[in-house]
Amino acid sequence: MTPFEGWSDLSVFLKSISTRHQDSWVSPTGHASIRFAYSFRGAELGVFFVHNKQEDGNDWFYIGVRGLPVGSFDLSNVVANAPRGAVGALALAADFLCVGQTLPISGLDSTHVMSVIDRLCELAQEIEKLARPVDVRALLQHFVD
Amino acid sequence: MNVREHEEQLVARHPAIRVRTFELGGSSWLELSTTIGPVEQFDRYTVLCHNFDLQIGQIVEIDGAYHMRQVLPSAHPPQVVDSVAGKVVEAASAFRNFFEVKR
Repeated sequence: MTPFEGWSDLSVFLKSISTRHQDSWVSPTGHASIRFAYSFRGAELGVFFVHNKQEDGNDWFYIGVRGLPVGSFDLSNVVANAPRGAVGALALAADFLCVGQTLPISGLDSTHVMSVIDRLCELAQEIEKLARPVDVRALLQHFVD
Repeated sequence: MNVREHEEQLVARHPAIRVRTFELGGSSWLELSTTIGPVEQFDRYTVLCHNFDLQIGQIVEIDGAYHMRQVLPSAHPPQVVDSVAGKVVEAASAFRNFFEVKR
């Protein structure tokens, strides 16, 4: 496998693995970002990448898998029971509970990226199971009232 | 220099760094981590927000303590690993300081 040469090389690869809803933009802070839907074990998950150019000129990026809004969770329960592994950490991005990882672009090839995406998706699905169950009765009551 | 010798030199230069190798998807990876402090000293919400904002390193809970951790494919040149180890230590220290000020 040939390592990626930089963000543009990596972003071409990322666009090739998206299933739909592809979107790319530059944030007000100047960071290039890509987000797209990604198929994993029969589900479609929201994956996003944020490019971080370091002061020393090295290229890094954040790869995240978007989960449910943070309000869907009891935070202490999630932190205590979320699966732990060598890759991935819980994070809050725009009030969504995500699981993500920072990585350098140099030395990274497509196998590395795919392994990390799949591991993060696996974690995201496990974390989603920790969401508070929806109280259907309360919801129905709301409509009756 | 073999991998073990390199790891020993790395830890000698950055005594706070713990080095570990692991396999993921058939590739060998390197984990660099350092302790931040006991979980109860920090606010979870702040930790989670930092994890999205940090440029290098992420805060993870291991055995009741928060650690700053960064993983890399293990084929990186020693000087890159050395530089990342330094940044992981700096990020842990910056988070501790940030939290002290906030408190």
